[in-house]
Amino acid sequence: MSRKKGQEKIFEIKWKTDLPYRYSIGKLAVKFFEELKKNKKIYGSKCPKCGKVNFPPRAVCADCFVEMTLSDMVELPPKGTLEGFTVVNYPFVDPQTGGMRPFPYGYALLKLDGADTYTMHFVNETDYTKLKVGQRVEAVFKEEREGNMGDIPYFKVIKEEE
Amino acid sequence: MDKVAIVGVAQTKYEEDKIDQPYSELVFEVVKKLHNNLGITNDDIGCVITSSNDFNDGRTIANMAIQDAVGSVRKAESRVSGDGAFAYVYGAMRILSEEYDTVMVVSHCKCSEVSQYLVNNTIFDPYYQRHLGLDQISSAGLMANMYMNKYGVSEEQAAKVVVKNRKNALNNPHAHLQKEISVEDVLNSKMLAYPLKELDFPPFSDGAVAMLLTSEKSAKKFTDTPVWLKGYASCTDAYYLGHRNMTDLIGLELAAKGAYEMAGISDPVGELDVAEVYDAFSTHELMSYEALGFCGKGEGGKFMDSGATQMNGSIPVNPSGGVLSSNPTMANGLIRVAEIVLQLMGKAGKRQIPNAKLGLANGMNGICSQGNCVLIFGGE
Repeated sequence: MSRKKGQEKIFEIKWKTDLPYRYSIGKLAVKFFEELKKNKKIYGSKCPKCGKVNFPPRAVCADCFVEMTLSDMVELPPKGTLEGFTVVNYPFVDPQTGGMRPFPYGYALLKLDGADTYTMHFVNETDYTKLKVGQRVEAVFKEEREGNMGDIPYFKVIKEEE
Repeated sequence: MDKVAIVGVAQTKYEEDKIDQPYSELVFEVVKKLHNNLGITNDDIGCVITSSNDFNDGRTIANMAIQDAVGSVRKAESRVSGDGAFAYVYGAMRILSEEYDTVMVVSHCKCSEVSQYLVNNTIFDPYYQRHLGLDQISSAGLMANMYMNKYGVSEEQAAKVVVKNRKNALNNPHAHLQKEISVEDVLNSKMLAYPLKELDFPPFSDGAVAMLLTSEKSAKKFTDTPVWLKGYASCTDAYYLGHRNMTDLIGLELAAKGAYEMAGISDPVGELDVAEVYDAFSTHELMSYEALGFCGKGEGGKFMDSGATQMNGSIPVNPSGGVLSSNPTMANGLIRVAEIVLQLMGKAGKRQIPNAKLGLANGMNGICSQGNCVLIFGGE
C-alpha cells in the first residue's frame, strides 16, 4: 500500500536481503589472480589457432570457438595505450562496500601492449581535458595484494621517451 | 510474408514514479486497456508472453508476480527475461507455430523501485569488471568518446538528437518528459560521463505496454488495419565491452542486414516511412543511423544535421520521442514496436507520419547494443 508522494506519509516496509555467492571462476582466472597477487604479473590468454591475445584472459576464442588452457596464458607488460576514456561525475554506490564512492573519477578503455582486446579500468586523471586517446598508461599495483582486481587500483598516465 | 499480425496495442503513461501502483497494477492497466480497445475478454487470448527483468522486479520468476494481471493462471505463459522486442519475437513464433491463434505480449518496468545503476552494474562479470562500478552511463561515456573521437562527431550533433526527440515527445500523450529543450540546454547540462551530459541521457521511467498478435486468418476479426511482420533478424555482439570495436554497432548492423533481406528492402531510407530506434543515449541514436544503413559509417552526425530524421524528413526517427523521452527500460523495445504499429495503423495522433506504410523498430538487451533485434512491419 502506498500514497502519493508529497501528500500524507508514505507507507513503507523496509527489509534488506543478503544474497552472497561463491563463484567458480575457472582455471585461467585463478592463474591470473594468483600471478597478480604473488608476482605483480599480468596474464592474458592467447588463442592457439588465430593467435589473438585476450586480456582479461578468456577461456574460449569467439572467432575460432577454440578453448584456451593454462598453457595458452601469456604474460603481458603492465603498460598500454588509452583507446577511450570517460570521467564519471555522478554519485555511485560502490558495489564492493555498499557506501557512496567519491566522484569524479576517470575510466579508461585501454589496450595493454601485446593484447588484442580492450580492458576497462580506472585512470588517475579526473580532468577530461588532460586525457587523450593514444596516451600511454601503466598499471599501478598495491603493495599488499589480495588476489582481486583491486590489486591494480588504477592505471596512471605516463610520459615515455620516443 | 503476412503471417503474423498485430491488431491492437495499449500503453500506460510513462512517468518518473508511479508510487500508487505496484507493477502488477501497471500491467493490469494496459491489459484491460487492450481488452477494452479490442472488445475482447481474457478468453480470447490463447497464450501470453511477458518481458521484464528479475533484478528490476526484485524477485526471481518475476512473471509470476503479474500472473493475475495478464490473466495467465492455468494458461500457456512464458517470459523473456530481457527487452520487450524479443518478447514480441517469441509471441510471433507462437503464432507461426500455428498452435495459437492469438497471443498477448506484455512488457513492464518500474525503474523507480530500485537503483538502475546497481541493477546495470550487475550486468558486468563479478570478478574482472563489476567492482569498477561500470554501468550504462559510464559505458555510454566510453563508447561516445571513442565514436566521436574516431569520426569527428560533435557534441552539438549529439545534442540535436535530444532536441528532436524531446520535441517529438510533446506530441505523444504517453511520453514521460514533455518539455522542449534547446541544443544549448543539452550542452550546458551537467557533465555526467564525458563527453555525455545529463540531457544526453534518458530519464528513468515507470510504465507498461501490451499488444495482441493474431494469425493471418483471424486478424480482420479484430481490426480493419492489422500490421504485419515483414522482416526480422537478431544479432548479439560480444558481451565484454573490450571485445567489441566500440565505435560501430556491429550487432545492430548485422541484425538490420538480416531483417532488410527478409523484408526485401535494399534502400532503407527510400523504402522505410518511419523508424523507432532504441536511443539509449544521444550518440547511440547517431550510431544507430549508421548501423541501420540510413547513412554511411561515421556520418551519423551529418545525417542528423541534414534533417532527414526530423518529423518531415526522409526517414523520421522516433516520432514518439524515443527512449530519450520515456525509459521504462525493459519495455523500451516493445514500445518501439507499439509506436510503429500506431504509425502503420494511422492511429498515431499528432505524431502521425502521413501515409506510413513500412516501418522499422529495434530492441536492445544489455549495455551499448550488445543484443539487438530489428523488426520490419508493414501496414495495409
